[in-house]
Amino acid sequence: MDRPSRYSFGPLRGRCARWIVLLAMFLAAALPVAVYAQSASINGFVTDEVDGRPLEFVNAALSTEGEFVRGAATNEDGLYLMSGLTPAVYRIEISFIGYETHIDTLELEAGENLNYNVALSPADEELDEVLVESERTAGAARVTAGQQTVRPADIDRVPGPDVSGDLATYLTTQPGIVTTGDRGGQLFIRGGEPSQNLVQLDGILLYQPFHIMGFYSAFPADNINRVDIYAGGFGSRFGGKISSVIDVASRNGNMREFTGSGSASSFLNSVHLEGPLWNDRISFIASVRESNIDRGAGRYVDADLPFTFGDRFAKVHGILTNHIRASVTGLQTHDRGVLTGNRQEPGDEVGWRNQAIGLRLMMLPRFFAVLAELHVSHSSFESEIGPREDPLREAYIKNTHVALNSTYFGDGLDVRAGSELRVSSLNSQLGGLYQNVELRFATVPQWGSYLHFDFDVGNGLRIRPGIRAQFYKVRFDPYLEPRVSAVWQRGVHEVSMAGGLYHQEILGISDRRDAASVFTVWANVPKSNPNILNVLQGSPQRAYHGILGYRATPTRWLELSVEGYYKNLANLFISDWTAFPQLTSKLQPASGTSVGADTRVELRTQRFYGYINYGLSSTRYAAEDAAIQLWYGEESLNFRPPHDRRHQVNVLMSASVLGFDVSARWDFGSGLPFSQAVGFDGFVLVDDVRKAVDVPGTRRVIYERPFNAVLPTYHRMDVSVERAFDLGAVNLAIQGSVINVYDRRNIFYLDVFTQERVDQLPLVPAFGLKISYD
Amino acid sequence: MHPIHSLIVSVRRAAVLLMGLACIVGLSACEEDVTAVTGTDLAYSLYGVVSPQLDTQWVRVFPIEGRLTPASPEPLDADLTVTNRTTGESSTMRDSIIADFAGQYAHVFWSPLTAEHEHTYRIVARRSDGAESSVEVTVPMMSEIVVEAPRIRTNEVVLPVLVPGDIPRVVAAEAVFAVSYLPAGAPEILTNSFSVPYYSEPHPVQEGWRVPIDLTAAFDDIRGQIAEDLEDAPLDSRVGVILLNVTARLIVANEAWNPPNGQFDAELIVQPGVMENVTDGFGFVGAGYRLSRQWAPPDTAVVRAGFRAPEDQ
Repeated sequence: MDRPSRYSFGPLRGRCARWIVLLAMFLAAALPVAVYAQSASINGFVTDEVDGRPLEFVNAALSTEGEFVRGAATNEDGLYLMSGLTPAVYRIEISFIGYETHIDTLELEAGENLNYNVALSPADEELDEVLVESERTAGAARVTAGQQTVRPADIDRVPGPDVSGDLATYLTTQPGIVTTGDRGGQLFIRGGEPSQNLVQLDGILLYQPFHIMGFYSAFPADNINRVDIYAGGFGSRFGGKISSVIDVASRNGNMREFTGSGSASSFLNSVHLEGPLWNDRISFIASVRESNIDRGAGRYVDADLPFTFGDRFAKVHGILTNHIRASVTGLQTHDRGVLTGNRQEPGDEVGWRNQAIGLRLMMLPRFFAVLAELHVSHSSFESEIGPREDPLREAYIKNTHVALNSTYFGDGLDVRAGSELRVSSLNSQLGGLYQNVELRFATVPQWGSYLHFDFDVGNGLRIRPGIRAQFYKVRFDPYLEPRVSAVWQRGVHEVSMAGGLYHQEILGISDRRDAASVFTVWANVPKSNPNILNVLQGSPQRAYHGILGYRATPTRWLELSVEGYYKNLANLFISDWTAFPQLTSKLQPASGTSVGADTRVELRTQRFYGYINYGLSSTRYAAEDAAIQLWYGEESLNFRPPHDRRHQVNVLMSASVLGFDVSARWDFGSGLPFSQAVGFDGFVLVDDVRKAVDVPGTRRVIYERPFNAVLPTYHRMDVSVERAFDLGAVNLAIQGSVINVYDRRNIFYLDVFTQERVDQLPLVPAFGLKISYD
Repeated sequence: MHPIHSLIVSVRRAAVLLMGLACIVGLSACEEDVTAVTGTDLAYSLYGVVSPQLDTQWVRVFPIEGRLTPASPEPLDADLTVTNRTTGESSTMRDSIIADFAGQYAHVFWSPLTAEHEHTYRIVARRSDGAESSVEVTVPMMSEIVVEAPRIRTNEVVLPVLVPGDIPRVVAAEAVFAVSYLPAGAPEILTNSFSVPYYSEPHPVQEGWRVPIDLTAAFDDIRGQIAEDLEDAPLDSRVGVILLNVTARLIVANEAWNPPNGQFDAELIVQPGVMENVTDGFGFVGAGYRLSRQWAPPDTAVVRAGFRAPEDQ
């Protein structure tokens, strides 16, 4: 008799283990709150007394009888929270460089959870130092475990055609971020596809927030408070995507005064307004931007620029009570253009629109020493090929999202836990674009719960383990995703690492056979069913990340970092290669790896700022179609995908010269892979004994191997000169810039069939002015 | 800082920036062109079938070009000859420029020639500069379809057919089943034909090539097709599905006429190198002929497979 296999209970055992881990997660999340239930705690928001905005990185220190007890720094919402305190009389000192220090004496009783909000008054003589100190929390070389924080000041230093900066301009100076050109709005981060990046604004998921012209996104610097970029190895609070996170937090409006600005440039006009709706209680901030290429750069540039785009942003922020703050953010974007340079073909026109609205409620419960956050949002994304009123193909996705997060701030241990429900609706009309995919209207619910610890081990070592349970429609059991990061600081040195497991069920499918194809179809992974023709069925996309980095700050003016990374990607879907010269194709499964290192050197002095970034990377995909064996004699075909940029150098210099702010950037990128053809002939399917004259034939393109050649290298220099004038009631800033100073012919798109090439922007002089009222 | 010193510092910074700029401007001279199409010395792609069942042999010719342009109605720079290597006879093929249904021009060369079994033919397409592409095919020997005794097992009824002789390959095998059935409530019996492919079934045996026609599986398949046609309306169970006759159809082919897995999947075969036999060029020219045979299987086999025999009704 056969012995039962010792693996026969494997699936059941694995299933039980997943649920046991899930239960343990929630018990662990509740533990710190229970342990400290009888101690005291203090929390509050620190704001700027002048404009009512939250102040980040303010130090709050508690001492008793002259001895330091506990300290905390405020987060991006100006919040500090200290718990697990022994009931006693404390001296609280809240200080921030550039502001008057606030000192008070407080008595904390057992079980008390004191809310203590403070508005700091600026100390005029130290304002410059505030700016310097604030900037040190961000910066081009300040990368820790794959995470980098970007401030509006960083963005404004990068030359662009506008007086106001834009996040897109900044991102393209970063190593590990590859764009296929200065149009199309596609960002590939450390080997990942654009659809694998989680981009969110105030917690609202956005699908394609980068405009069709590469200088612009939906995130102008004027609207941004901070941006956290996780190029990989992101923590357990982020889920549903496998490559990276761009987490944008918008600014709150001025609580005391109305301010505004209007700007015009060769590419874009914009209006920005903010102010109080109810003094010290409710503020708003809003902006409208609209491209004007037809009337601006399009008139004097010797290149066809058939692009229109724009965005509208608004945010209302309110202090509901001492314990509760709320904000509502809304965003609309629109883009349209022809990327192939052929305006005559309706199939070459592409357009997309984002709509998003979200509520964020931040609460400090009276009886628990935790920060609780509620996010409710809805966003949608529509895209089409062809005219909007009569598209040839269109895709649509929308999602409704509810998330509840709580953070416990302890002594040497912070615990963050949360759950989210996301319901996505997908629909598309593809006109046979992908032949082996069944796409139809689908509603896909997803549930994710996470637990994240932040241990301050001591001696400069912090360890942040976490786990995420992601429930997808494709199977009943959760996908458990362990994540971890660690940072060790010693003097001027910092060593960091991060890693984790990630899954993605909502897929963005794009035909990457040519760079001009930016149309993305959104689809979910259905359960396995042999009776349906759908190559996507089975498993969600999966990635393992590993990051190891070193950073040093040998002097106040120099910072350098190097970070190595590895991403292993599975269950990808890419377009099949067909010798038929057609735009439709089948999808085939693929896997991939991306390995590389990003090196950054940043210099900053009082009058000069600059950085040099170098990215070395290698991304390899392995196509796994059954036909690969027949076509190439190999089980899988390894190739360089079209976003595999081996070398990338970005140089930025910014200085004050004779009262002018002069900025220059130079970018270099080695050539991107493309499929070179051997020639063209025709094809007739000989499947019967018939006269050749009676059998239809088609044209055929003869490829050697996919992506077997590389395009020419890319390099370009942009320069801008800006001067601000104080005109009393208003400020005027005038900027002149030159894009592609030495008029380099950088290729964007090559049509192998017609051999027509579309180049990126030639030399473009641009002018901009901005009038602002404070 | 003294204003003059400040000015000197500023000018120095500007000079450094300008020098850097000048260095980089030098890079603009390094323009790089991109080669989209490498080109090839290969001359033509040829497609067609040499068959004793055709009184004229046709070959479609595509020049291998560096650009994807529609075929021109102008005469093609190609001279085609077909040579019977067995007899040594040679003839020139003539170009016929036709416009297909899509309005695209096609160059199809022809020669009034009936191919002989077991003869080898060489077709050469020569360009004016001397470049040539060629293909050589041998027409298989004459054969026939022999219906063998049914193989009846517990769960399976197989009707084997044999193509005897020293033939290189059998492809495109299929069976057409003529059946009758009565949809429930319908006034009269319907008669229909259902084709079932057996593309990957032909296999060589000592006597030739055998194609096993699985009658049991065919019954399931046909019942499914009928249900689909009738949109799942029930059949009159008193009548069932009556098998009237079976027609086996196949191509006796040359060795190179070998589609992957026996399937003529254009998406697979279109890839250069798959099912191609042209030397110094691309494409495929086959040699072969069609065979077909109709017969009524024995009632025992028919009933065992799930059908009803005509005699039962």
